Amino acid sequence: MNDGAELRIHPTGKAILKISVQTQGQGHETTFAQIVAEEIGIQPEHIKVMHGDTDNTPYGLGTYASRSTPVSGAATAMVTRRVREKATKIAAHLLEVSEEDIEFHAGTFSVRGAPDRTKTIQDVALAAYTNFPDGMESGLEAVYYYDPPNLTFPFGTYAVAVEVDEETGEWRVRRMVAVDDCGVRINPMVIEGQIHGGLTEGYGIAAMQLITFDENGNCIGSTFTDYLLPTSMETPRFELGETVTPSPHHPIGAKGVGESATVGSPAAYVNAVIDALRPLGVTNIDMPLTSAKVWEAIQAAKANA
Amino acid sequence: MATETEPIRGIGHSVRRVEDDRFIRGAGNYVDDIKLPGMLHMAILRSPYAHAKINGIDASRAQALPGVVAVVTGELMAQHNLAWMPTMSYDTQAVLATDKVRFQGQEVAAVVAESAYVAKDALELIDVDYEALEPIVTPQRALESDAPVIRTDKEDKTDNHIYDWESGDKEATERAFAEADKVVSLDTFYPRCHPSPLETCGCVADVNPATGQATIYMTSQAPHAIRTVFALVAGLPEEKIRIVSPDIGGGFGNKVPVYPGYVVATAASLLLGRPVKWIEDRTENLISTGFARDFHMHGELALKADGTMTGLRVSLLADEGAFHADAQPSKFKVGLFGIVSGSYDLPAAHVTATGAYTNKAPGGVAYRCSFRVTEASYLIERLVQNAAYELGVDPADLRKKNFIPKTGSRTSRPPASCTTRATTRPRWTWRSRRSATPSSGASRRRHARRASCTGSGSRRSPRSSAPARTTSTTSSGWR
Repeated sequence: MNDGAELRIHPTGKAILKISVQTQGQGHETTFAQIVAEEIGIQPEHIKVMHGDTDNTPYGLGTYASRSTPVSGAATAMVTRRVREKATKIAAHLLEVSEEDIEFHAGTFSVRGAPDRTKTIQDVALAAYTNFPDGMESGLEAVYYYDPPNLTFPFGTYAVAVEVDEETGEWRVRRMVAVDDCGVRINPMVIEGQIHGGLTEGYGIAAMQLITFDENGNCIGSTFTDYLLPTSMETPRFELGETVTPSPHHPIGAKGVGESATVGSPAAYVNAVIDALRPLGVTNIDMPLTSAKVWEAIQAAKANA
Repeated sequence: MATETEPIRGIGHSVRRVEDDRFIRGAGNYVDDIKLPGMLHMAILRSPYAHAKINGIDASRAQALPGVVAVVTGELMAQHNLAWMPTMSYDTQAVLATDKVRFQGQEVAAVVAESAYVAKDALELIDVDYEALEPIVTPQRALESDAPVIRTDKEDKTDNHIYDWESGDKEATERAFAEADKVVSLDTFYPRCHPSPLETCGCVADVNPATGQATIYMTSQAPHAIRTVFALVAGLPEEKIRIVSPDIGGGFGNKVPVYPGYVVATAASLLLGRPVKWIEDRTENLISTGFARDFHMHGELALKADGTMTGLRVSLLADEGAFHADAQPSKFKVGLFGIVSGSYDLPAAHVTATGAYTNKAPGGVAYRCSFRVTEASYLIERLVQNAAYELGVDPADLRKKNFIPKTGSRTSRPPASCTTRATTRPRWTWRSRRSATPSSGASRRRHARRASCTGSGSRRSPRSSAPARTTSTTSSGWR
């Protein structure tokens, strides 16, 4: 289940990263540049992220199953570290010290014990093409294929408070609190977007989305008239929180977050509605919890009482 | 060059998305934005029937429509050995129907024309002689002995059964239930839904007759894997295939599979020597591409009188549609089983799943879900909630009591190896649903506040010392 990453630092110290996974709105061009930025100290806006072209990117299995950050993100961190190893050798050459005496922090290579003697990653990048040590191959680039030793395991808790109109079966979310743990957070804003999207889809599944069929096999749900998507009018307001438990095996401790909210939230909505109706004897309603189904369940429970 | 004092905006920074500039300006480059010189347009004729025999297809009227360049049928595809293609679960799926249609919306023929409008208009001029067959719309019906066989294309297939799968420790679980003070059960149905990404699926296939180079612009979440599949299926050398996935307007798993439209458009471009664009409309996306869920679930929880969970038993019936295009069931071990047994300190768990063909669209991988973790999370959290009510305790307290303790936790659990073998038929229990007539009642609002937890596989594994066993089979010995 491996994915590759290729990183090349240009002579002026700007970079291009080629990845095997495919963004569909997740923001890879932003977040993967941040991983490189963290590891080698080039600002993310100077790192171009390329993807989605099999002629020009390394092999990999693509984006699904919340795997981009767990696998390709790891490959990106590892390829950057591989480039940094060579950069450290070049910095040692420029500073005329041994490689062991070089310290690296945020894009600056300095001499241990002599912190005023420094070279930036930009200095090193230029030297990689113009002034590299004897016997070293020129250039500053690498490729890395990462095969994850395990899955990453994001987790979280979703709490929902609803009110149900006993007469009409309508229900409304009063509060929705989601606390997710996706390990080290690369870009909190992008994560928030992922969680919001997932919670919205989770609400859609719990409340209204249904592809069903009549007895002749005709699909009911073939247009947006029948297959409902929650708009901003229906979607509840979400309150987010987080805990950070780094993945023990991922190079930067990150875990996948793409699926968390869609996976976990539908049960919370249904549990809340059932909790409200439990005094009437309702123990289960299958999704989607349309007003009609909730109303029917209420009526059935009352008839049984 | 960045100043030395400026902090590096690496991990932990809410850097603005560089993608948004072009998206907000309407300057994205999606597959439907791609226009190539000489490009033709393709539209697909789909079956109005869920299950019908095809006695014949007459495309002569469509062929005669000015602007129509070609009509592609299953017969033509079969001449190039492309009428069927493999799925991710080692099944086959019809590219264009030759013998029967097996779900409403199935691809029957395609028109390639000078404009998208002509292509669509020509679909109405294709005459298909259908002979309606009994449709099967539930997996329960599909597995009845007198149900018509959907996959008559498969040699020796005499039923609609796809697989039996099981994982966990059956004996230990049975023991736990025999010794339980309380058993709580739940029958529930996680219905079929669809991620419906904003951008529907489509492609522009450009096979250059001069160079033999095939460039396919495609709404794909996995372009590299697609290239390899195309090389293997079409027999094209891999270096001659280039898959380009430009800006993609949402996927959610819906854009993982290879769809018949991609294959037909590529074949048409190969045959005609011109680029061919195919973009499905919203209805086509909803009725024919990767759906999600459609799982009938039965769960049982064994508990001590004090609320300690001692065992979990789950049986599942999956409606896979007409072609098994879901993730391969052996992967349920890392998804479904890991999550349903993964949040609570369960000494024993056993899960069985059966898959059945029905006259519905294939799929199952979609909607932000890996290997059926969503169904698993839903079932266990609904079950625990109901268990709390039956025990008369607060659901949050019951959860807290049964979470895996921090001490002694394992942080990783490698997937167990899988074996393939036939298994015995699981027992199903179905709850009939009844509706009631309206009656008046005082309006009252009820308030609820309840929590649900997603799986947290980082914290536990079943305590049983025996390695979990996974079996799966594409059974032929069902009956």
